[in-house]
Amino acid sequence: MSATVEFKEIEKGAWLVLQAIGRIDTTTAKSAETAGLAALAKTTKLALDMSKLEYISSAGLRVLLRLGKTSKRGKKMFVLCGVAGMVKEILEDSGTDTLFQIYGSYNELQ
Amino acid sequence: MLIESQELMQANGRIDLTDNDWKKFRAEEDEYANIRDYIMARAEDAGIDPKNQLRLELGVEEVVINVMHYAYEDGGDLYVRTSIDDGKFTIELVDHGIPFNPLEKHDERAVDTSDIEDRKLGGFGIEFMRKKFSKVEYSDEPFMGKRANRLSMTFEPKG
Repeated sequence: MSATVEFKEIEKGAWLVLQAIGRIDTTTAKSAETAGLAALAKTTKLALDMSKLEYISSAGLRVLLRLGKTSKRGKKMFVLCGVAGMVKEILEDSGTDTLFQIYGSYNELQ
Repeated sequence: MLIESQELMQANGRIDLTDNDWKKFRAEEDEYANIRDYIMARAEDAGIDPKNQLRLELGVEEVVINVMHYAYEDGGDLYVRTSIDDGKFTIELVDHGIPFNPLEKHDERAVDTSDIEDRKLGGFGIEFMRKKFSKVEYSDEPFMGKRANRLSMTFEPKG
């Protein structure tokens, strides 16, 4: 088990897709937030691809909320894609899923 | 030199040595990964499958981080013990910090339905702890001769 998170940026039309690979927990939330905010600064349409995210905790949900709030303040779009498994479970359990537009895959982004 | 917690407790002599699987950690956030790795290795040994391990880990993270934030003002120890009984995995956490029962903590998150601008960033932890463990018990009793907070959490794998 690799207890890290890495990010890959993918361009998809007008969207910047930030693919999170690994886990966003207490130990990695700070670097995830830094990567998310840096990506958001570069685009007006950011999608976080969570299909390669194995685990997220409340520390990770706080990162999602912060990115959501920051994008709203900047009149930007921030959406989630590839939400599945344990990540889906925790988003639903926390009611966080209702705060974001969620796409099955980043290939669906227009 | 690293001294095993069990040896420390044996030297201390206040612990029942037939029941001495306690492991001592520092209750500080930079120790969290060690605590998680310890508990998750025990869960794997206990036969918890990978999907349920992730659910268990979530409960573990929320509880352990909560204890780290509330137990001590100037740092202290956190004792961990795990056991398996009839497929149910139990984790016990003991600290000598300020009396704190997380089960009594008001959970604002449960009623927070505000939209994203107003949604609070904190408060998920206790809710996840309740959701992930089938049983959570708090007691306030002596441990190693000192008043302690003891949390016992039981995890039952789901199909």
